[in-house]
Amino acid sequence: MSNELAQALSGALVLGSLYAVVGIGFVILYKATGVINFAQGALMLMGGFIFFSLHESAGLAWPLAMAGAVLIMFVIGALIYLGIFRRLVGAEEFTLVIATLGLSVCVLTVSLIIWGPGTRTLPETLSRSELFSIGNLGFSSVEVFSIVTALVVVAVLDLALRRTRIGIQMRAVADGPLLASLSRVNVHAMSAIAWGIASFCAAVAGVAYTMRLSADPAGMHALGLLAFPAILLGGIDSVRGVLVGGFLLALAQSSAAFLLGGEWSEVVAYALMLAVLVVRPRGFFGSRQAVRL
Amino acid sequence: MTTGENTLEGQATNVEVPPEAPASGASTAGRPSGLRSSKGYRLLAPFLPWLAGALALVVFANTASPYVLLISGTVLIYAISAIGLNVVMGQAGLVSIGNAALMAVGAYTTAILAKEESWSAFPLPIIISGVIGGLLGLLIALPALRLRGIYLALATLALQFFVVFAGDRYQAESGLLSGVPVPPLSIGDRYFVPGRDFVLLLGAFLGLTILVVRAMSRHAPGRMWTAISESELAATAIGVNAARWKLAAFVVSSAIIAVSGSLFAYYNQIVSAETFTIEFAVVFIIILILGGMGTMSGAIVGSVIVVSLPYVLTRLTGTLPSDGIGEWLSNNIFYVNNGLYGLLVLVVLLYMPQGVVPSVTGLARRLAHRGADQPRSSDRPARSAARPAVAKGDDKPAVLEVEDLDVMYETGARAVSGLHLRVEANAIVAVLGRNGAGKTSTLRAVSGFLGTEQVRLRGHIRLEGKDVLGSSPGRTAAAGLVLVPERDKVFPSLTVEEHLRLATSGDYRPVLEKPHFHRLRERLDQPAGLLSGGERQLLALATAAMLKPRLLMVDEFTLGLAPVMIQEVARVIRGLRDEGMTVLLVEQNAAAALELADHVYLMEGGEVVAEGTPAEMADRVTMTSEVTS
Amino acid sequence: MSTTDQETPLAVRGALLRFGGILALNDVNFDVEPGETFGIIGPNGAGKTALLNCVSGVYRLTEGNVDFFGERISGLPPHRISAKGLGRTFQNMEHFRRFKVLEYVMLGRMHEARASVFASVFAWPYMERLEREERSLAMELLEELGLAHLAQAKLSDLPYGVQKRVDIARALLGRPKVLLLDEPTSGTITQERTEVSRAIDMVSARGVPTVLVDHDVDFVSRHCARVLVLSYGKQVGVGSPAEMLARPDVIETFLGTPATS
Repeated sequence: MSNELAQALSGALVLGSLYAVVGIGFVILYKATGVINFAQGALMLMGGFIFFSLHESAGLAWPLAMAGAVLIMFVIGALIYLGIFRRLVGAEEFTLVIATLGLSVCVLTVSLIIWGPGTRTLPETLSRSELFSIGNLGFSSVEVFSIVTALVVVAVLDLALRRTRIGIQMRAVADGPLLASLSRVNVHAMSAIAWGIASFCAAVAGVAYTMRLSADPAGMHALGLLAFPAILLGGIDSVRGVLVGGFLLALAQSSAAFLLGGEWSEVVAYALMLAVLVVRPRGFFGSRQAVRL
Repeated sequence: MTTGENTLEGQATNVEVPPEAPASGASTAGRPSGLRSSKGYRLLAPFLPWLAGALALVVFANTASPYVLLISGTVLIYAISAIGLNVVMGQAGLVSIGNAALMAVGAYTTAILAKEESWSAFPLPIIISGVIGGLLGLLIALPALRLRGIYLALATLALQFFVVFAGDRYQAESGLLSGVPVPPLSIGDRYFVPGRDFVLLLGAFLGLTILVVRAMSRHAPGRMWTAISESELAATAIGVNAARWKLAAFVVSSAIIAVSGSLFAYYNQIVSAETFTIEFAVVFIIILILGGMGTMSGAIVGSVIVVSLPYVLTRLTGTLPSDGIGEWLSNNIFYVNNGLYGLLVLVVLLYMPQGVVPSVTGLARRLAHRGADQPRSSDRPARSAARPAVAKGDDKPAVLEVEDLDVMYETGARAVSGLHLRVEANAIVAVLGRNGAGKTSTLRAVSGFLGTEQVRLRGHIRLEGKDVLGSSPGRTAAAGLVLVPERDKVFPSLTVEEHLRLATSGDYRPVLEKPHFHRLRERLDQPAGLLSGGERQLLALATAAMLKPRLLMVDEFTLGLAPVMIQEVARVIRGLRDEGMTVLLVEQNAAAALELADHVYLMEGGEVVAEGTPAEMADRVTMTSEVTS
Repeated sequence: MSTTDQETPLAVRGALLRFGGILALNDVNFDVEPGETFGIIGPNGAGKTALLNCVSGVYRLTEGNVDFFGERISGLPPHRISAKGLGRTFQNMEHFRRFKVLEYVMLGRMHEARASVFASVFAWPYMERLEREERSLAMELLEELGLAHLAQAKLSDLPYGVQKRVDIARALLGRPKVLLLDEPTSGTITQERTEVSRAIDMVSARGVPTVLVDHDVDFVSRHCARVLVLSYGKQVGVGSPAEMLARPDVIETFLGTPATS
């Protein structure tokens, strides 16, 4: 295996883990509330910036700064539901999409006003030089941290959804919001939590991105959008699918960059999405909906 | 809508005339009166708005400052593009984020052609841009035939990246990294640079666009598009060739948008891939949302707002004091201007979901009609007088009392009228009736489902004396009403155990000790979606029982069950009653319900036509209910 | 299997429809004779609307076929079936909320072959004349149904009983050779049903062979000389309403079996 290829592969693993963690937040939100969230990138960015500020300006140790950033973003997510999307319950899918686009612009603007448009680079928190290698697949500590964090978040969320009572309630809301409210589940609270989780996941990805590279508005925004091909690949309502889709997309992008050059990576991602849309619109794991006449 | 509502028994037709009088030109045709009938006026009338518009534009172009004219040119181009997008989104209801890409295609085509001596003559580049845009529209339409809603939107998002990528590559190959220059538009030896003449030219293009789109939307194509946007499946069922008309919508829309891109290139005299971002595409969706989806006037008003707002805000900032908020604003005006759309779209979605134009005209209409439909509260028919509530002797309120309930859907469907029901504690009461008699609507009204839907409810629904009419399902559930719906009564992906855990924060095992729920014990780990119909019913009843309801309502428990299973479920319901529960059944299966119930109501056509003990009712329940009480 | 003869407006043979694991329709057979109003009744979930959707092409039969004047139409897309002259109405009127009454009725006139975006732009006067003709045809129909004064009202602002009649007008404007009426009384209360009933009388007076699907047994008995009874996708029988309603198995279909034996 050549060095470039090895690098591409380890890069794919890191990128895939980011897609997976953003994607699982997306899927949880979609299943619980039916909202297709275009604001992932903006929320990611805000999470990264908050982390940056807590660590750099407030001087918190990076693990504390990270915990603070993701928790703050969880609260912001819940507030977004209570302030905006609670009032749009029952609106058409398209209206909700537009609302998240509007939200994206707002969150982005607020972030830019607070932190400015520049890319912020943190001094090294975790080493960016190679920690260990498998064959000539080299990983730095920060990359390992990124992958492990993403996997832990995905695993914990999955477990929580299956085991805790709140998790069961959230799945009940996803299965049938009306029936859930009949069963005395607080649908609004569950939706707020779902928004919190989506925002939390975006922030985790944002922090990981910031630690490995930098708090880069354009890069994170693009990555937030690229979560869509990843999600569609797996199926928009499948937690399992988003993991597969995330890594698959990252692999496709890395190979494209390796074979054709870096500028092809994004186009290939969207071409892949388009192909999946045309061949199998519900993705590999997604479920079908029926229309009644 | 409520003007004709003072219904009494003798009302023959239910036709209600909406308050707004028809105001369209079609209805005035056969009404000769004064000026309207004069032939000259009638010939001229269709052209008057056009003349007025043209005149206004000429006056405006000759009086406005160069700065304002510069902005107006952009407004006009955006308006053309938004009208194009509106064909697909507003009329045909197909979501597209491909607007920026299509404009980019028009712009690049123009930039390339305008350099070539033999292709640059007006209006060749513009027309070719339109044709290429139309062809690309055909290409987009192919996935559109398969994809719906958000999936289609994402497919157009992909287009966006392809076009920008191609543009980037083109610029890189030809060494024009900062953009492809476009020579100014010329007609003959007359050059158009942003200013008065260009605005007039753009005005002409806008007029042409309106004319073309209007011609289509007033005729069959417009109707087909509306039908497809309302329900594609239903539209095809009545003969609309959805594929064909979707294709047509995309081609027309894409051609118009590409033309606007071409004009955009001439106007800015440079084309760069950086311009055509996702945000740029979203701006046009926002224009439509702001102005009001589906109307051309909305597209124009939206363009005016979106394009001019940043300039207005910048101006305003200049007049603010230079400390505090003013200072903050002027420091951040760039971001604020860019972020304003986001805020605007949220405000519009939350407070005027129809868009600005329809909201304003709607408000005007409401103001004009105020007073016309004042008597809202006083038009209740005096039904309760005609039919006194059944006096039951003791003062204890019944568990459930329904009085004078009317249910009418916003769609116009009437489900229930003047309904009375009474459920005493610790009894099984059954409401019988055929499908469509209004039984389910009654249950849904009681359980609060209808409060959240678009339904008009009137009357009283009292749970232990407390009126719960119009509460949300969550409220009524909290108040002690539990409904087991006709279908979707369990969560398919949750296991049996998870259902039980959902119902109580405590220990769920005691409920399984009851003999009638034994059957569920062997199924604890199975997802409810895999249970049989009977098992689902048992599970739903078990979880409902754990919620300790004041009133348990069961909708059509026999539906889809084999006779043996019906007997088993009936035993469970009787068992729950024996434990002290109060039950309201709604049933089509008269035989099963008559055996189970203590008291029976018979519903027909939205009304109770008979009530009594099962013995009294047995011979009145027939298929062709010739029941007249 | 060969097609049926050309005199029979509608013939359904061995219709079988499977949804996932469920048999929504299981071997349903019937003919509609010229000029007849044929009824289909059955309790909720019997498969009445599914059957109608199969005939009009919205669902594709898993097995069996549908012949329209001797021509096989099962398997064709719905718009093609509609173009051959099979009209239908809807059970739910929620599909077309944005339409005004007249516009909606005009939707029934499928001059699609002549209509196109190009014709509307480049042959404006011709299309405008066509439009006017169709508008006056639609108005005549509305007049006949006593709905002319509501021509400019928004469909969703009207009571269901009226909407159902507008829907019938829409279907009639397409000059159907066979008309399928899907639950015309659903969503209406007793007093509105007389109006709907009158509209159906008008349809029969025109001699259009009609299939009337409804859950209101009285209503169907009043209009149809022959009815088909469906139960859980299966055909219980075909016969005159009086004869069918007297059969014990039909009574059981509607009123259920006793809960205890």
